[in-house]
Amino acid sequence: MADELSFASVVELGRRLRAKKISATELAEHFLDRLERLGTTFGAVVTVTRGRALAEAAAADRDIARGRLRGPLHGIPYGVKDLLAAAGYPTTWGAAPYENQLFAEDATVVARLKAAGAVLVAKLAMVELAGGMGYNQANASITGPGRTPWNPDYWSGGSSSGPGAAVAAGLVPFAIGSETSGSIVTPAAYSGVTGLRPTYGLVSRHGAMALSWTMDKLGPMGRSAEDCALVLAAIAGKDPDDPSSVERFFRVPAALRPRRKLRIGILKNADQGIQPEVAKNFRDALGVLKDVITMTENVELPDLPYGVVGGTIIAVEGASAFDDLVDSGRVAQLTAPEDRIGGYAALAIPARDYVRALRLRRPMGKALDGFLKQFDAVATPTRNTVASPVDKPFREAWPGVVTGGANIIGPANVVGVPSLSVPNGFGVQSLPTGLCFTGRAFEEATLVQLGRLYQARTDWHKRQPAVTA
Amino acid sequence: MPNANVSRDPPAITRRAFAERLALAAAAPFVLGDLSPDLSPLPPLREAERGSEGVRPQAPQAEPSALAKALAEGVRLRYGDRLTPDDLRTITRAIEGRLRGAERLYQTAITNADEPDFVYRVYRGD
Repeated sequence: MADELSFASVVELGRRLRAKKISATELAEHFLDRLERLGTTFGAVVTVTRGRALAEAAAADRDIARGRLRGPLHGIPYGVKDLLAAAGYPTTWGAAPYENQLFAEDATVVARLKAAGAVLVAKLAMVELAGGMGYNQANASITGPGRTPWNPDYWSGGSSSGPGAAVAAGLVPFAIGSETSGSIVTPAAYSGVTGLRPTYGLVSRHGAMALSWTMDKLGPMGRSAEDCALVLAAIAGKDPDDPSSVERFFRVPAALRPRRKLRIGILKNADQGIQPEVAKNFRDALGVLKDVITMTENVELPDLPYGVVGGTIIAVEGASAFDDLVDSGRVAQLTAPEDRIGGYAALAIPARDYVRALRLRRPMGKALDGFLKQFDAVATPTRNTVASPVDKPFREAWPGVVTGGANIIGPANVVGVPSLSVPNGFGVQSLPTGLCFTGRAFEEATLVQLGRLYQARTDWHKRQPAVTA
Repeated sequence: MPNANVSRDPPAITRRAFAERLALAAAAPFVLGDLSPDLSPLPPLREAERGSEGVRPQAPQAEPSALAKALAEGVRLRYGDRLTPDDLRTITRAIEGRLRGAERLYQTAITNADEPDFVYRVYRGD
């Protein structure tokens, strides 16, 4: 039974639950056992929430027995990145200074998943403070480096390192990650899972650690675009506790073949100067979709300073969010040496620069929207390389490809538009690679449709790493 | 379909584009909070990256500007008791990197009407 459950999709597990072939309690026990046995192997887990999980699973079983079905997530176990508050358990933000931090209430996302009947089984590992202090290595967490189950000598990606590793290793069916600039799609690619970074404001940030109030997003990581869509539908929507949340919902799009070919823009240099295997997988993936897409090659983003604007905003908002940590000196307790001093330089950024960055953001958003609306999505390799070794600084991992390719992660995050990363093959060291689709604001349904079309034609998302159970 | 044109050699890029890529490399990936990528040595530039102008962006090991030193001195005055000389050198380099990157903020024209992308809402309780 184990192999049938550990890597099953939300859709498959839901079918079993509704058919009463397994109970929510049995399912929770299965994943709790895997988390407790394998979680540390991959640096994936901070806290296994056994007591809460069994209580929520028992409630789900009672509901299901009475025919009170709450939807596709009812009885499905999941984990959250440990920057989301869950009442009764520590929320460490991946960082030693917050090791014993407790919140009285659930984050809105956790509360919404509970309302949907999902079962919280773990608080998952993450890079300390979501990378806000400028880490440059995998070993930057209170739980050590996250390890990709495909080759544990390599990183699972960050800063949602635990969600990536845990989903990939079959420790949870899905997880909630967060992204300020790359932290969902990167671990999705490095861990060989599917990750959906929603439009800024579509998912409430209430109860989540703040790194950058104007750039943080929460989103699902799972086995498929379909699963991520089901989760997003449960967590999206306006929240009075998060003023930046918007009056929009997300509905899972009908699984129909599109009436016309979808228009895909290919960024200039997207597959140039990057690892050859990543480039080949990218082109192979586009080839797989050729009957349902039309491609426009060599398109270029509007020439605007996305990197500087995003970097300035994150640095200043992060410095303010963790002002007490730096000012008190407790920042010295962080794991990565560079994180212990990374916050000080941000204190010297002039207010003028920050406000200028915020003023540039609206014209930047308009320009990028004008660019993106020419297409249904823009396609890129999610990352230019496979994962870094856990024992090397990032810059030394794959010399020669630092500035290759075409980076859309930064621009997309600065303006807050969504991306979906799906696994599209393997590169060196048997490490997974990712295909990324980026679209206009609130076009998650189109991205999901593309992900579904790709995953209906491939089986990369169904591959399983050799995890010793 | 495999791309027959895959190459390890990057296309020639301008100095401005290279500087932006460095900024993106800092802001975009997993290094979330750091505008400055210059806390560690840059890889050697390939010929194409030097561009036709033959000018490399200022190396991180170069002497920091007077402004960077002055701003770092502010950090030293507040927190010097807990920072080593090596820490302060690293912080000064990071500040220098940010200052260089910030130049681009002022090369994109905006007008008096371009407001920061947030709206203050007055509060009135019940």
